[in-house]
Amino acid sequence: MAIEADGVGAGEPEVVDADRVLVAAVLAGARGAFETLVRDHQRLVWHIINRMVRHPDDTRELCQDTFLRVHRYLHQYRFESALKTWIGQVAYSVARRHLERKRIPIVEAGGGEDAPDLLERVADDFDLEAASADAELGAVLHVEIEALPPLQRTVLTLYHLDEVPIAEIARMTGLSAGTIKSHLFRCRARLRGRLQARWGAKA
Amino acid sequence: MSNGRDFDDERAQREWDAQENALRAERTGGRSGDAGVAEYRLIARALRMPPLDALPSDFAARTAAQALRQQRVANETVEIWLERGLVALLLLAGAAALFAYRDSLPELSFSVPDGAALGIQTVLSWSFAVAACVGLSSVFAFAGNKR
Repeated sequence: MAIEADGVGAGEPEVVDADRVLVAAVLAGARGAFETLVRDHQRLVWHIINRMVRHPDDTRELCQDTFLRVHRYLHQYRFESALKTWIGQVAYSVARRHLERKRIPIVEAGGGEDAPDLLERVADDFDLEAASADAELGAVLHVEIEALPPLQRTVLTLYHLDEVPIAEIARMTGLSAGTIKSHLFRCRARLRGRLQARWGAKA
Repeated sequence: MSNGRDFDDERAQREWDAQENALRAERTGGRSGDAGVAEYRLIARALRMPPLDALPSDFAARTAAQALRQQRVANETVEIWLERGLVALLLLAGAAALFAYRDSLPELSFSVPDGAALGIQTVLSWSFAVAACVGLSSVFAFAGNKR
């Protein structure tokens, strides 16, 4: 299976301009500027760390740690990517180091199954209407999502919930765009297979 | 995706397209075509509603206040070490100057002659000693307060 990698470009010009204004204000010590920066990016940081760590107290502490680092090293930010991407990168590395210290693997050992194996388990005659009517469907999917390794869970959340483009997720995680696509593809195919297996077992 | 294809394998490409179409349909609320896309819409919907803990409402304010506190402490620490360095440099320079000009310094005498008026040399010597004590005490007190 070959996966093409998207080019990783800089952020939108208007976003970068807004970033420049905000960063300059924070570095000049303008009143309320850093609080604005935190408010603008806290949701993304919260999602990344929550999906990686999944422990409420640790999440709170690591989110704060992320922004304290951002504040300390903001003078090193060179606008090579959008501020959002840079902050996401800091959040991801804070969460990854935390998991490494706790010896929790962030990806599956061995990289999981191959795409053809995954697709073999996906049936085309699945009774979608019946499955959709199942009140437990959402809960079943959430259990399956929670069971994914931290990296895959985070990539899916960034792509689906935060609508972060693949190229930006690649920058945040330090992985190639092709690897991010591969994770997205495999996880979603696996979730589809599990959904069918689970509902098929009930029917 | 310059040629619009992400995978070499035909089936994998179809599956990826179904996943992406489902994502788009779920975001825009549009209609989904085949069953594969509809299934992936269920997954996309679940992925857009993960069971996340709520972010504390005062998180930004508390974090910003903490960052400013840390910055103040860091600045003060730099200031304290700079001051200590300057004091040490001053003391070293003083000691070096005393050593270098030791021959041209007036001889210090701390002896008070019995029943006689204090000589100018004795007065100067004691004044120098008192000034040095007061100066050093002030320096140590200042450094202690800063810590």
